[in-house]
Amino acid sequence: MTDNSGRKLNMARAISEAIAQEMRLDANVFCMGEDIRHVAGIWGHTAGLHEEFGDERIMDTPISEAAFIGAGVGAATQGMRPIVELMFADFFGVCMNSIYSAAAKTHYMSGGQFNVPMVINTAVGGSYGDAGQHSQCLYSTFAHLPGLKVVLPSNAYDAKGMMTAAIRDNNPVVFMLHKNLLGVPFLGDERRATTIVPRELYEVPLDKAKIVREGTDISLISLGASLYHCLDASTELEREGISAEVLDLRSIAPLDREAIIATVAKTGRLVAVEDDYKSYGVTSEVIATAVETDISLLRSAPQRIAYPDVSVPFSRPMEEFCLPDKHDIVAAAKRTF
Amino acid sequence: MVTRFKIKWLGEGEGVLSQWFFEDGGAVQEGDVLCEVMQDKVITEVSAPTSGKLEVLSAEDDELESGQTLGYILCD
Repeated sequence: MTDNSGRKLNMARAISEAIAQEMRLDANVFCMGEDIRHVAGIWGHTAGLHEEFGDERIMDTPISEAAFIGAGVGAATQGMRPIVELMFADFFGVCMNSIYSAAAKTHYMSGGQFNVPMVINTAVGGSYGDAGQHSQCLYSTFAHLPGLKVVLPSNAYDAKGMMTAAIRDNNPVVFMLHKNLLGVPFLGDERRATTIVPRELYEVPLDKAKIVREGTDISLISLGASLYHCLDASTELEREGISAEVLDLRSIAPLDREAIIATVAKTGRLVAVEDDYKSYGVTSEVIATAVETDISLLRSAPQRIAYPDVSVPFSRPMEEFCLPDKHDIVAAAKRTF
Repeated sequence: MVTRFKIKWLGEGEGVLSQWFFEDGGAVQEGDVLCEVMQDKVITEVSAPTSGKLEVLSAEDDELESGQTLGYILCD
């Protein structure tokens, strides 16, 4: 990267910059969804696009997810590269046939005749009091089914590079935006997600986890907003003489199993952390990956921290009680010794 | 000759400078978002009127009054 101006962007801006730069290069890329044109996406991640690209390439749609995600699949099979908005992941219910049966299956069901090079942007996560139908993560709901790539960048640099890679990918990519990280303060003000972002276009792979902190005694494996709780926990553990390695999964499907095995083989201890429901989740898959590879990798029982299997409460104190934080992670880490 | 462009916050009422997107001395380009000012849940972005080198005056978390100078852009 040649740019050394030290320019930082928040994640929403990094995503809109990637989309704009890729749209300038490829006339087949267009965006559609609710409130992306005048409101610039309710998270600000389509800011400036309508001014530059106009009505034909930045399209507001009615509140009919089944229709516009279905339309995106159709456009993608005909050579376009649509970026479609599913505003909140929680809304998947009304359009799951378009996602699960059309987007994910068309390449397979057509015997490879059609690709679906489509990006579905969708926001995940709570902590700001939006209750049970607007606060979920649903990572494994999307990742469970073959045919979709599912990614969740944790910072602006990765967000720009992964959005570029997602647009260029010939498969449907569910691009999750964690609301706590986008740069909208009342949704959770995690400033560490705002990073230096090169002005030029670049790609970050959609299938590679990343070690964000090296350590030797225990592996904390996480993603999205929970990653920052792991980093806070690792600082606290350091004071007690425990050196924690922190792995950012970045991609949920495909899962970078090699990276998981490598860090667990190095440290021998594992805490997996996520903010999605606990049962049948990302953390379960991380632990299964480590254990089924070689049971002797682990020196103690792995720990799993996730959202309890209850609907997200509207009450802020109750929601905070449910969400994983650094204290839960520190306590779980100590249990492994 | 070096020209100094004053960067002001022109919002109404009081606000808090929530974040700079450049370090002091950073090379900014016209239109770059320099910083954000927050009032309740509303964020106002302050953009660079010209390209040049940023000189930061106000710090993050500073309380601002309308018309306050946040910094300068120095350009040739």
